[in-house]
Amino acid sequence: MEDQLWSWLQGEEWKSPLFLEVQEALGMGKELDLAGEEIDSAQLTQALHPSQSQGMERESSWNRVLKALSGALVLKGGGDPQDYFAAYDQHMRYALQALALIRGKEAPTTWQELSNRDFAFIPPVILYFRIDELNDPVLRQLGELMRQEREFKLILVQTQIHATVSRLGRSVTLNPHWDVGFWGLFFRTYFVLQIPAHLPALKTEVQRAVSSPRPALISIYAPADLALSELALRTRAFPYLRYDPEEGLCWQATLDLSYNPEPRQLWALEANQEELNLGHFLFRQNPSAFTPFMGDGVPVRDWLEAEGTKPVFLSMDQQKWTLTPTQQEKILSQIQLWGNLQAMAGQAKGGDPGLVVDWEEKIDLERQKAVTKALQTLSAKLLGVTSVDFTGSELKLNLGSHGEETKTKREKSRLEKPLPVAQSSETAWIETPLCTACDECTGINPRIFAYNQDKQAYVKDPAAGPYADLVKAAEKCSASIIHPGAPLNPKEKNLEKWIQRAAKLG
Amino acid sequence: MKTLHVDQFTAGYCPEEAGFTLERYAGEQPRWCKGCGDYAILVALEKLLALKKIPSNQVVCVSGIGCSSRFPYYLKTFGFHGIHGRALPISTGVKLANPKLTVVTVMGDGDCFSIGLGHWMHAVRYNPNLLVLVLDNEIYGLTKQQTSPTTPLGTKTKTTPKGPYIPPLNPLKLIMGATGVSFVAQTATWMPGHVSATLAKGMEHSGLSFIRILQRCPIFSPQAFGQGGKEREGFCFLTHEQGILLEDNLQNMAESLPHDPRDFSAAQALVQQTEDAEKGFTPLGLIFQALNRPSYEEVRFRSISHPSPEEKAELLLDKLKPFEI
Repeated sequence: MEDQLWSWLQGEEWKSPLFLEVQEALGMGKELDLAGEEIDSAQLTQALHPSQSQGMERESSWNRVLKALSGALVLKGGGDPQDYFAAYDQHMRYALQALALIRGKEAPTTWQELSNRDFAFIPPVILYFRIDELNDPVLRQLGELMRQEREFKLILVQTQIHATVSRLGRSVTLNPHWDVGFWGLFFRTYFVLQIPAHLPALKTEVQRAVSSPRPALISIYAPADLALSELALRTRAFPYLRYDPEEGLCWQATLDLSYNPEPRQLWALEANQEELNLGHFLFRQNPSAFTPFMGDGVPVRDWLEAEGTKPVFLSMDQQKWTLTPTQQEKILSQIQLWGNLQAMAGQAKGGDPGLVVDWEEKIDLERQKAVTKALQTLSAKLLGVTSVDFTGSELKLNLGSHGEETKTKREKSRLEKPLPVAQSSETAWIETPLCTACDECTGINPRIFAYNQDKQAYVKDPAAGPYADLVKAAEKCSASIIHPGAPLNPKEKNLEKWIQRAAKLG
Repeated sequence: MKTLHVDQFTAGYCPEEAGFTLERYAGEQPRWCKGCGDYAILVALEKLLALKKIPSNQVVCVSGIGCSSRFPYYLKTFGFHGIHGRALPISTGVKLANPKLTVVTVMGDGDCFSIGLGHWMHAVRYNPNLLVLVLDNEIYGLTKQQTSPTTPLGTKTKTTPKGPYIPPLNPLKLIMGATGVSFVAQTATWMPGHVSATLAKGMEHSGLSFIRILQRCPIFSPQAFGQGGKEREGFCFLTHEQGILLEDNLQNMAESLPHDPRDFSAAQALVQQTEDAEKGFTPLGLIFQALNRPSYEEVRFRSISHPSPEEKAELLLDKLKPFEI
């Protein structure tokens, strides 16, 4: 997919409208009708027919005009920014000469003086980056390219997102989430487009960004398997967004989310009405990172809205999977990001009740209320406050009358511990990624414990053997990663003794 | 008589269509004790070979003697169960005979640091492109609890019932003093993710990648390394962008220490500290890596000229010239 994008960019000629007209005139031998465009048509006509009096000099100038106007300068990123600046300046010099030739003495002498209208005549300078890792050189190059005045169109192509990102050792949990598209928002004059490659509108959207009279940052997710791209959009893992500062001054006008499925809802739904979340995307990318879940749990959406429940990930085939703290955090963070995007784009705002609204707007209002409520619940849970007000122009936090004290125990533990206990203490479970495959537990009871396809152990069925086996396995486990939970059979022999031994394990 | 060509043999042994799954690399059912850290290393190695998509007929696993040295049986690749302490000369020979093969050498602490110490130092100096794993449980386990070179003071064994009389060998200090060292890393079996990452780093290195893997013997040295990381404090992840990167689930398992593995002096200073009785700690991660050292097979094949058959004939004629009648 990435190769297709690159060849498309190179093949696309990005011709300026003026060039197309000139070309047509040359082909048809007809006179140019450019009087309304403030172009010196006499000089242009003279330039078009140089043979009578102008000689070779004029002809070579005209060739340069055609070259400067004929197509975009498409360069692969990754080199020294100074080289790109030089290439840009050279491109603009030719373009200025072209304008001077067409307009006579009225043309500006430096490209900084060019108006939006002039820019529309000049093909863009496109820099193409393959960016799967946000390392120092890439950051430095992008930063240097973006902070100066030149109007580059930066196309950043990623082939993988939300991959397991390893990082240097830190004792605190810092998930290195980065959305390179959002970096464009940091430079507020940039046209920003974030788009998954499977969308049929990809080309028109990219063309729109490239032809904008502003510098542009275009972030494209182009995995080899386009189904993954579609899933990334549906699960909000890589939401479509377009930020066009030309559209207005407020965020609602400039930010567009229209290509996202159900853009007014917090969750996009599957056919069976279950919500799709980042977990589905992570699961599709790497199913072996998930281990089966035993016991009672509710899907993430219900978990956020109801107290006292345990989260579980439901895959498309309705199978339950354990969510590790890191996965929980990733899912929550991504949906929160989407919620905030909605709020900024005006998709989730409460509306003005004083207005007379028709029934369609009423329905929208109800939807918005639902989204706002979900966002409030979500944000309150994430921020550890009793309520959040999204309805006004400001974000209001209500810390409650007692502040810290009003937090429920569960909220508190989630806030204070970066890695909260993934499961209830009632269900037996294993920290599967840490399993050393030492055969200890599967040797004690192969009906309870089994290996997954990565040869790491998980609790296959906690009810398939006595509680004593769970405790023995936990005691023997060389990595201390088995959690026996609570006994399932209250009539088991010597149960008190085993409960006491389990308690010592913590 | 029909002769069996080696390709036919290997093709039957390792069908491509089997795909690069863990089963493809799994040999016999391991006979290690339950709870042994060797299982973690075996799985990590199988995963690495599958990840790198190395056909099993392109891998040779060479070992010496000991529990760890049973690796060649449990890995469905070509294997060589060598003699005590001699795994490294055999591996060097294999690599020289066919440099395209991936050679994994597995030894124990007794095997490598005691009887094989001479071979170890010289193999490091020669720097053939090998992945060398030393599984250090601070005891001779297969022969039932005798003192090994790394057995710490105070550990009662069958040969030293009151504990060893002299302090243990520090293999890190030794190898960092060896001429031509090019890759030194340390990991521990109770952190399978770290083992995998370290093995991957070692396999990517060109030259002798020495990896010491800390583990306990659940039967004869269950107390080793703080009961296999359960009790002992002082483990420390070495962090650097060129080093071993940590997975999320390892973050809280030990302290972190920034360390540049390309800095030879820093690496020497680091291993010096591991022997300090008071401030000593156990580093986990990439201790040292030199990128510019040629491997032994590179040196050998660069210096030897390989004349064509025609050139050989000419050389032969030259030699025969004095005997012309």
